[in-house]
Amino acid sequence: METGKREGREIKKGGEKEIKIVKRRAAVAGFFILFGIATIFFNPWGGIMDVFTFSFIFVGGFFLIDSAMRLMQCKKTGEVGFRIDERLEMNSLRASRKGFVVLVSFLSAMLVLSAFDVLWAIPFPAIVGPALALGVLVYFAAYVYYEKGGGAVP
Amino acid sequence: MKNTLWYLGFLSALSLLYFVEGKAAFLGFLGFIPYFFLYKLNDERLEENLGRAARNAFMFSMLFGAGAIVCIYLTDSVWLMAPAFPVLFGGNLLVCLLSLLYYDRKGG
Repeated sequence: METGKREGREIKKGGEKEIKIVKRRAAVAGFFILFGIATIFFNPWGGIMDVFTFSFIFVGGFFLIDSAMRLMQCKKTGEVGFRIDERLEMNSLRASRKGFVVLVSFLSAMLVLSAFDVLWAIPFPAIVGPALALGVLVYFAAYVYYEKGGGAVP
Repeated sequence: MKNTLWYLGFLSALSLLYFVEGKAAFLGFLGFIPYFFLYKLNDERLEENLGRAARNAFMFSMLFGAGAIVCIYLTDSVWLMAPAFPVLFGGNLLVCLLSLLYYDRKGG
């Protein structure tokens, strides 16, 4: 009886954690969409920056729809449709570490180049935009790599 | 197995450019030296804490970078570009190291 209660509490706690993750994901997705829309309207450079802004809207829209569907499903069934296990969490953390290292290295290189007055004519958004896109790409690539079993967590 | 964040320690060598260029900004790269101490951290809990710290710093750079770009677009102000870059760069390192300290003290 007591074990059952404890198990029930654990399941409820785990579900709360997953709902929190879905809500956080929806908030970040909303931010990405806002960022994309704002830059489309106020982007003075156009060209390659438009590709980045559309990719932000696409990724944000995908995650927002996915999160909304999961939250609606949660209202009906009480489950968000996925379970956070230790392996999944560890892979995500390892992937974000890779993304962080690449992002910081890229920004360092840009900082050195701008200190040598090589990049003096290039504005801040044109440097940081590709850096962020590169960081996100590396994060997703590393995450998929770890999920497929490369360098698997024992 | 080496920790990935250990490689960031090598960026501290860029501070030597101070002696070439004489710009004090290059001394900021000395902030990467603490990353050398992460070389032998293979304990599972510490590895998890490092991952969380890197995730926080990664999220900071994503949100701050995107926010700064939007602000620059909206206000059309050139003067914002100069402080935004160092804040993004320094903030990355600070968030990572402070998060690591926090998780280490909190106990995972």
